[in-house]
Amino acid sequence: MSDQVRERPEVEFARELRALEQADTHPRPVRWRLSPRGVATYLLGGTLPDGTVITPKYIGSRRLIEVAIATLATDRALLLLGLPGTAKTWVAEHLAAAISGDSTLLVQGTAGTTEETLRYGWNYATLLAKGPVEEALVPGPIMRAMREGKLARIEELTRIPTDVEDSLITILSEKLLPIPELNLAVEARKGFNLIATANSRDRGVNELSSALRRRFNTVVLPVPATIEDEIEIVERRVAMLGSTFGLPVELPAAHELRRIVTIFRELRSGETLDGRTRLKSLSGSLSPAEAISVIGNGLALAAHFGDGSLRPADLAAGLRGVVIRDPGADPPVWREYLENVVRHREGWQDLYQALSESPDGV
Amino acid sequence: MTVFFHCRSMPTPPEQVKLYGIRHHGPGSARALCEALVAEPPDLLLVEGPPEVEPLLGTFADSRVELPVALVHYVTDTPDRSVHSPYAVFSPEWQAINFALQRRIPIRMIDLPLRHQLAMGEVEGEDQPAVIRRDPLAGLAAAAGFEDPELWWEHLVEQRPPDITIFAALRETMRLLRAGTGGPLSPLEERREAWMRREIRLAAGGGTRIAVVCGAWHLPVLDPTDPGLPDELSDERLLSALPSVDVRSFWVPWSDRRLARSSGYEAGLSAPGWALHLWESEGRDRTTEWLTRSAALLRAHGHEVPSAAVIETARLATSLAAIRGLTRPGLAELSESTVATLCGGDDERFELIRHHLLIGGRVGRVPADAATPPLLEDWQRQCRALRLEPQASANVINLDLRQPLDLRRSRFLHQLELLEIGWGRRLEAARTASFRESWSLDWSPRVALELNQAGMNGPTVETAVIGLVTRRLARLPEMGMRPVEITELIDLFGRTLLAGIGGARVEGSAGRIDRLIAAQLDRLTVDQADLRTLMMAFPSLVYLERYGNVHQFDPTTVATIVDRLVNRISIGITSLSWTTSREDSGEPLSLLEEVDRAMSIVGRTNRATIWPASLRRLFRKRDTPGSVAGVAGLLLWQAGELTSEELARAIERAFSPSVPAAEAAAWIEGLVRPSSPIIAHDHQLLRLIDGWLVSLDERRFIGVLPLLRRTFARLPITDRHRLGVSIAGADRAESADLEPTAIATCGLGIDPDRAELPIPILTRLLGLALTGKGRTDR
Repeated sequence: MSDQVRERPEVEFARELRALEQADTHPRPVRWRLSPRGVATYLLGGTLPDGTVITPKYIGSRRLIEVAIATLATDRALLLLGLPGTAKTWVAEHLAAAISGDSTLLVQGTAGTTEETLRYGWNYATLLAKGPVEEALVPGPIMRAMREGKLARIEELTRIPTDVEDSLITILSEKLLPIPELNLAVEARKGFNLIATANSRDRGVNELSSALRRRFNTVVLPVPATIEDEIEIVERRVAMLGSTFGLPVELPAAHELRRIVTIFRELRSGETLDGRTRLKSLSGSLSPAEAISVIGNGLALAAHFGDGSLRPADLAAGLRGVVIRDPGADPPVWREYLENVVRHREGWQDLYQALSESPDGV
Repeated sequence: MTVFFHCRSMPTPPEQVKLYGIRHHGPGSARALCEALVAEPPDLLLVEGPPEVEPLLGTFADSRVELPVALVHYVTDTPDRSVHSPYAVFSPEWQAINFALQRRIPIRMIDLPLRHQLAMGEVEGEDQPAVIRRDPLAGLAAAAGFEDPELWWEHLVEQRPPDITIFAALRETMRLLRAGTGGPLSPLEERREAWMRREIRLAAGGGTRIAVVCGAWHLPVLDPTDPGLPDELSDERLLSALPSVDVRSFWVPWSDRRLARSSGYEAGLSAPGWALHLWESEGRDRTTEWLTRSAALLRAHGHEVPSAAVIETARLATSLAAIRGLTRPGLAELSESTVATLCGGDDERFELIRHHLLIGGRVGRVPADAATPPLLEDWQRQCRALRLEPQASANVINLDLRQPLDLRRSRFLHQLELLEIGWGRRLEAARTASFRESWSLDWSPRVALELNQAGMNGPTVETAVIGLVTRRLARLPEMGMRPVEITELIDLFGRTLLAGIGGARVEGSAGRIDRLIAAQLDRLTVDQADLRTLMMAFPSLVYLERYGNVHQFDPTTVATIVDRLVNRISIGITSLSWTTSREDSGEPLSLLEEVDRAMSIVGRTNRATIWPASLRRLFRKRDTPGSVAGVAGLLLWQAGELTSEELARAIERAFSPSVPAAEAAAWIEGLVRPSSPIIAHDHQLLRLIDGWLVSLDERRFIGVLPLLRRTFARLPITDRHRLGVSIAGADRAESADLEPTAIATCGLGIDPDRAELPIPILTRLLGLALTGKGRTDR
């Protein structure tokens, strides 16, 4: 067991990647560790001819993942869009790990991201001592990826100020990073490409310029398509949480998981699962990631303050916190949902009790 | 794929009978069939289709026909039992029949006649064959990993060894498939295949070269020389004593939308527009052409689409096809690439493409002489049955809905109204829940014309109405339509219920119409963020629920929505932001009153218990505008939800010195509404206000006086008079021997504000003095 809170995927799944590399017979693009099909298998799971089981990293549409991989194979940059908590970063990281064997060439986009972060900086001591020489240059992650022919990642692309974002245009269209100070240019080697992620709720933060937008193929990662998918995702991740934090608590019963996931899916999609009743929508995104954290939170409460088994009351507080994001608009919607749906559902009385006991501020 | 061609040796059919198995509406099938027919033209063409089509075959070659069109077959006595068979230009049957007509090759339709099929009570639409039977090629394609069956077909055609025809290969495949997906055939299907075998037997022989065009599924069982199949004798036994009904057929225009599977047509296509594109772009670069059309469409809708993006889309589609092991991109690859590049991941933009390109918007046309809609006949039959005489001059009939015949008449007339046939017109407003209805009937030749046109929707009045409503409902959530008004939908709902078709099944699905509209309505009411709109819709829904008693329909569908709205409005009303400007406040106030009235109707069945509590919250909340709080107070008071003590306290609170004068005025104006001047009749309320007023000291009294004067000045003069009388009477002051009724009559239709002007002078002239401590309003 490693001591890191979280291991990089290329380390954590090194064994799977090695097995895939050996079994992969399809043609590989230059500097790709695996063929596009191999990458798809790595992400979506499967069993290799030698019996190695590849765990699914992404549970969801195969077609979307194929579009993403095909995009990277055509040297177009890939933009993963989606609501918060739809595994954008997760997919990007694993794509980089499977294709380049390196998921660390990463720029985190923030409002304070500068052109230097995206391109290169200087070692000022050397710069002062020797003037602008190559030695004084500090390459950024993207420049390193270009030199080594690997995938670079940009997280939260739309948080980067637009004028800084636009410095990516040359890199993406010419595959060239000019260094005017040295009268040099770094040319990208084959295998270089860029994966960016952006939150589709954040789109308004910094609208991508259309020039930049055109240089990306966009794949929108949806929320899980079926309740079974979502339960599986939540279950897998909750189990991982439990073991990471060593919680002395039994994992929630299947029906409890199903109830929580049902609430999330219904409020998110704006209708009940049977499609009979439409619901008003909330301001929060109610992603699977939030469902996982609600259950994690409930487990921690049960473990440290309860009798060790997860009860509706343990979930109530966390659930409310996730559901009510806008204290003005959300409480009536939540109350309506409780009154119209939860209250009348068979076998949900305990949950209704627990949920309606908390103050709802209406 | 190749497995299909390494087939075991099979009995070859006699040279002169060629079986062409096709995929219904498959452009690839149509093309292969055309090529085969041109290469080896037959002397006789047999087509899987009912013989009822034969007299109507001329239309296939009629140059005035615009595709898609459909043949509708119906049982003469009960026209609502009908089947339709649509044709598009890429339908193999259409192409084959066209080919034969041009070459003057005789054609025979060899399917089991519909007069038997319909009599057996099963028709293709109803017995819902499993997907694999309906479209076995699509099933095979899916098994081979192709999402687009047409792509698989091409693959098959391209990869086939030159010496084997695609149809022979198909036949063997189908043989294996049928053996694998065994299970008994339905009695109908068994007879259909027996009938087709018999027809082929009858036609064969004598050296005639015969081409048989049939659905691929039937291929293995139609070879008359195959010893493994039932022989002539057992076929004859199966086909003896078939029940029979009288069937009529006619052509109707069809549309891409109705060809699409989403419209409920079982053998439909997922993308008629794509199929047409495949057919039309034969021999050209169909990927580029499709993407160019997509780009042009997006541009026409105001999206920025550079040519570079089209190129990138094509590249992505090709690379995606490579990953999936396809030789070229199919519809799935093109669509997915289009979403990722042209549409920038935006589903709504792709929705445009789906709507305009994948499905398409073509509507067919049938020459007038080819269409003989039976709707007119049905109308005449119903008129006779309901004893409604079509007369050229307007006559009025009065219906008593408690009488079964009158109820049926009312439903029939409402149905015609929905079809927009200008024959009957309802004379009074539609929202009365009385047992009486009056209609004016006025027949003119235009009515016949309208009935003719309405025939496109269905062969009987009732099916036509159902078809019309179904389509109107299907159109509701479409892209690019103006948002549907809730009230509009409620109107439609009401009209369908009155027409008595609420319980009917929606075409092509198992859903009942009323449930479907209710679901839509539900959807709309939930999506509707504006509570005010909901409040406006709410009363009419409540009245709709009440129709149920009179018109004998099941009101439960409405009831659930009403219940939900009760909750929604009750919960939302406390956080509603009211327009508080004094000039605009009238409308929301009467809205509140109307909602309350509706709530009290719902409340009679004890379902709106949450409402008074909400009203009370509204009444109490600090930030409720004064006028709204006042009205809420009035409504609560009337409902007996407020004690006089509570109201008295509220009045005091409203006129607390800290409350701005305008706010206090608004409050009391809400309580003393000119539109419902309860105060003039409610002595207890009057005493409360009076008592409060008397308790004021002089300074406060002078302070509130202008507000009160203003409020009471707005009451109708009769009410003011009555108020004066009550107060005077209560104070035992010598007063008004003036007859209230005298004023009541002259108060009608007069602008009270202007009429008030001369009153002070009049009172002085007449020597009247309405004293009473000098605080009556005038």
